[in-house]
Amino acid sequence: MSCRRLVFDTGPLNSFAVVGRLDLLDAVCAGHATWPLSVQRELRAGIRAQPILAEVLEARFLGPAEVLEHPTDLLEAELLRVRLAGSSLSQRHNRGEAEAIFLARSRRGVFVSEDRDARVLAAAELGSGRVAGTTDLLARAVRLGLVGPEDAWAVYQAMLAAGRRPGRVSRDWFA
Amino acid sequence: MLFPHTTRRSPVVPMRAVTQQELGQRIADARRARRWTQGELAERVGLDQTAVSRIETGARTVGSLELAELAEALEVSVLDLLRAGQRPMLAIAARLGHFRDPGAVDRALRRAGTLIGLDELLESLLGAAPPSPASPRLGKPGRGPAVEQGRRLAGQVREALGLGDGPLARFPELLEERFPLDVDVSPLPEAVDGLCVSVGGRALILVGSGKPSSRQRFTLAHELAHYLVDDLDPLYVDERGVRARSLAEMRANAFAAHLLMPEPGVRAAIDGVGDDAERAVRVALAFGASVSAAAYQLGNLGLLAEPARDRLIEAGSKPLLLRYALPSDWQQDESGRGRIRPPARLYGRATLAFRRGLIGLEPIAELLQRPDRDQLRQELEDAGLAPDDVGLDAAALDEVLEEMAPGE
Repeated sequence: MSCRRLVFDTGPLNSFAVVGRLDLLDAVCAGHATWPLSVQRELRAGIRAQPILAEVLEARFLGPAEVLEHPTDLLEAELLRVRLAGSSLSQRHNRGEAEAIFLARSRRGVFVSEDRDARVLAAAELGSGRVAGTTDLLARAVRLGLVGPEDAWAVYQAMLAAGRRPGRVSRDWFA
Repeated sequence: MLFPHTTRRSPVVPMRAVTQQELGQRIADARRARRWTQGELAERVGLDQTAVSRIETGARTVGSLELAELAEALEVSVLDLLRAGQRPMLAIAARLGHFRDPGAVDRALRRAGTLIGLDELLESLLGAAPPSPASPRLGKPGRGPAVEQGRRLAGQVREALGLGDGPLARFPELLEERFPLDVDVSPLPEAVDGLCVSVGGRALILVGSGKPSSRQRFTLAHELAHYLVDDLDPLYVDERGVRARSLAEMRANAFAAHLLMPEPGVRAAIDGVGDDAERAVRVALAFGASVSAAAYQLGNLGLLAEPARDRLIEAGSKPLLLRYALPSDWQQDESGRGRIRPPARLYGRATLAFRRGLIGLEPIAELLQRPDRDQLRQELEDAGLAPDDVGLDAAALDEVLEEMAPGE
């Protein structure tokens, strides 16, 4: 059995949650989603400011958050984190992105993030076909017939209106 | 083998991790170094004492978030806790300013640690840097008074580098091009003028950017003396204001003065000038030195009597430059304050790694001490240094997702 997974960073989960369309992610992932514990903790920490994020924690399609604890895995994830965050910031900075890239690599999976630098780094590590953003998954939902192009555009606009930064695309992106 | 599960795109140098037991031992060592009990550490990171005890003996695994919290509480880096082997020892010399600040050198060393860490990271991503220039062959400073040793050494450096008797333009670049060392000009604690760190065959000279250009140049030359004479080990601290200066410090100051203001050049600069203050100003402007340093050097060369020298030093640069030169001369010297200049070699390699998508923006911002990330990103893009955005191939993504999809 393949263990390939879509490995989520915080951003896309947040964006789909704030517009109430986690169902689209559920359908696009088709049982192949996962997330590291650090991403789950980040979202949990955000619930006070954005109560709707509690829905992500309850979403069953993500499964239990993955914990890194073997020193070799921890070292690999830390090396990725330092490449994003340098050494001056808090040692928790960019931990979610780094651990998600690490898991995507070890699961031969796809890294899903809105963080530009993390996506570029992941593309260098994994190849560009294994990096996706919020708008890519929304476009995929259109291709799967889960949502029409106009509705996808409306979902995207709602994300922007909610203060999310899902990446800049035009209406044609969903055509 | 590092990253065993994927085809790596970047030439990452393998780095071996410690075992669970070794990790626990390192956490215990760091805790004991801070003289904390297991209970005290546990309280700081929100664990119970039993958990800390089991972590330290290797009986309990440590999650990534727990490890980050432990590392932050212990003020150590996660990377240092996890990678096998010891980092090479640093050899250090520091030049302190006029007032005492017991933690200043430690704080300055954090900048050194950041630069050394980035250098190691880039080596792991890009491979070894091109070979450093070989240090010019210099004789020993010899015996005799420290001031005389410094003068001889400065003469040897000028001769070996073919510098003649003129002013040294682009001083940091000159040193980086001709010696196996890096020069960083960035904010340091007020009490630290400069610092020389040697690690693994390379030297790094840090110069505080909070001082005028002339003082930065003198500090750089001073630290170069420590590097050349190899008196970096053990930690060596120059506390100005303490009367009984060591031989090494007097030698470094004399070296700096003679390297920046060689006697023939000084004599030529004051030719026909009778007024003491004007002489000091002429020398300062000709060689990019402060008026105080110029006055000292004139005194050392027997071209200025001690009382006159002391009066000029007491007066300070600004009034003398305004009287004997132009306000713009003073402003130019002051304009060096706050100007950050990272090591050129490191900056070049960091931007290369950024362009290739091997590091994010943050290590570059850290190197340049830039808080304005968006502006920095735009500048790098404008300079053609930004990586291509991830031009996601939707077909490739679909292919991967289709592979996942069928009824697993």
